[in-house]
Amino acid sequence: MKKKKQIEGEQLAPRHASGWQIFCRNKLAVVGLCFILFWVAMALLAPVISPYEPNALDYSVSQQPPSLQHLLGTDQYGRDILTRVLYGARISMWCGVISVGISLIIGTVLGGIAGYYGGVVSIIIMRVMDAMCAFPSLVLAIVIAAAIGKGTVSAMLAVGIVSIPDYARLMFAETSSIRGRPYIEAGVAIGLKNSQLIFRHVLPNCMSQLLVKATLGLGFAILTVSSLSFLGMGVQPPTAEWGNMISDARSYIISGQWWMATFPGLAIMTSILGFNLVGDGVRDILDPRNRTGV
Amino acid sequence: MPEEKEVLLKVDHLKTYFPIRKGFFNKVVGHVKAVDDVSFFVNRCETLGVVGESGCGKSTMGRSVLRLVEPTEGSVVFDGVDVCKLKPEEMRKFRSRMQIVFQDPLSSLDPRYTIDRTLAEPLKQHTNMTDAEIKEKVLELMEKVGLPAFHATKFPHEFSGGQRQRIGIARAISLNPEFIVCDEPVSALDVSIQSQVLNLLRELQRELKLSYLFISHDLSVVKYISDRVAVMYLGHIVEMAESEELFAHKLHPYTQALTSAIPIPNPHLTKQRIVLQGDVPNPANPPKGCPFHERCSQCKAICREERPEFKEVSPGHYVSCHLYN
Repeated sequence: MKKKKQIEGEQLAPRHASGWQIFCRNKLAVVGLCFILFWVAMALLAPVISPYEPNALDYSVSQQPPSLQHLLGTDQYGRDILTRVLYGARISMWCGVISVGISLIIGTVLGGIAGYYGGVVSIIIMRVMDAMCAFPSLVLAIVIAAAIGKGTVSAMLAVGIVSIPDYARLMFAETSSIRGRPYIEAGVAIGLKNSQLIFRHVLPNCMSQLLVKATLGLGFAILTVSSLSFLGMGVQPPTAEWGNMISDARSYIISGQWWMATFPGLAIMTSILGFNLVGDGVRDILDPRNRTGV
Repeated sequence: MPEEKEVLLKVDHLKTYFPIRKGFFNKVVGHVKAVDDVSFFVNRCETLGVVGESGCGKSTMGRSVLRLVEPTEGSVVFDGVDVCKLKPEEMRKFRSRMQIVFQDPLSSLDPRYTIDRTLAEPLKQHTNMTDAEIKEKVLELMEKVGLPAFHATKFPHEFSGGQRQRIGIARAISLNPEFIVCDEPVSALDVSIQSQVLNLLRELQRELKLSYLFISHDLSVVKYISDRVAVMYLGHIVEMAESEELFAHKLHPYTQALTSAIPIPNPHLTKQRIVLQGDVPNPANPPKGCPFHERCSQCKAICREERPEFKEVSPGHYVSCHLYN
């Protein structure tokens, strides 16, 4: 009897898949998540995994190809490449999170205000954003990094600032479209305040776009910080960072020491690929239409 | 002997203009006169139907009455309170007394909200009920509009059009309003579902003593549900009367043309159709004089010069036309 009742309930009540179930339907996203988790684990466990110091010089083993002592080889100063790649993951992950955090918060607020309130405010904000977009983002990042001064923090700031218009524009487009939808009008009709409308209805409905953009943005941020370091504007040697490792190694590619540039390059590639694939999975989770059915 | 009726909503000389902005500096170059000087009233427990073709300002009028669109001029007096003069905070509280049902039921529901959340929201906003009381009230509302309780945790996209509109109606009645603007509530639905929703609206009206401003472009729907009917053309109400009176004695030439377009479900009956020439004029640049004169078959010299007054020509029958002066 009890069992029968349960079955009845199951038939009638809607079955909604959990976010994790939806995410798992996207096989590539799971692969991406594995890449990210791999790099996060590497970053956290770097001292445990590697017996070497990332900046310890040992000229007796300089420019060694991959071997059992140095799994990924050594660079021109005899530093272990594996160790430096692992420690580089720490910097890259932080750069991604901090710079995306900066651009996400500032961009969302600016774009949201412009989109929700419209009028003169939106014209001023969005024209400034357009002006920022007029510069190629890498060039703008170089200029900002140069203005603040070289270093890890200024690279993060520069990449963060450069990406603000992307988020602001996305948020502007989303809010101004959602602003005109009948369910917002319905919210006004039941007497919601502006703040309640924004936080309960407008923002949650922009969230999926923003989160997807942010996950993709993490990849972009890692790449741009690496590019800045490669150009000498970002993370300064001797700190291990994928971009400046490639930069150091570039003259050795032709002379045959391929491992110096290849492994940090692979690290950049897999981490960015991971974030991009996860971005797709996140998009699936956030669409309520995907919840129906298990 | 008709019983004495109490006027619940009185709208006087309501105007809603939308500015047309152009150029880099967003200069206002003109106005779309969506609602241009309309006056009407709605009695308690009565349905006033509003008909007119698309773009004539019916929806804007309904929204202006609720101040979902800010009216430019005029007064909306609801049960003795001038709604247009309320401060934002007072207006928010007052909204529990006047609600709206939207045309497109899907887009009027937040896609991320399950139905119980959507229905709980107005209750949380205006009452001090506990969560358990709200839950109970939500189920009661769903039952009232004919939705079984197991639907409560579904998302809007999991419902059919008719069910969604029932949810929209449940939300509108959740705060026990006295007045509901129904903005084409059935025009997005199948004909078979239309009658179900219309009957639901009627039942709720009787049960909860509601007054409706029922906006539609479908004359047979309006005829079915309304006690009185107002005909709109280009932002003006051109004729308003008791439903039976209006359909029996169509005075305004526009009403005559409009009602001749109602299809008769009898192939043996043929009917004279009045086909209007030309298009509806641009509401940003309405014609001088009577707004209908360019398309009117009985246009006189005065029609081109002077806008006719909205006058009561027989008890309860108002018309705005020079033919009846």
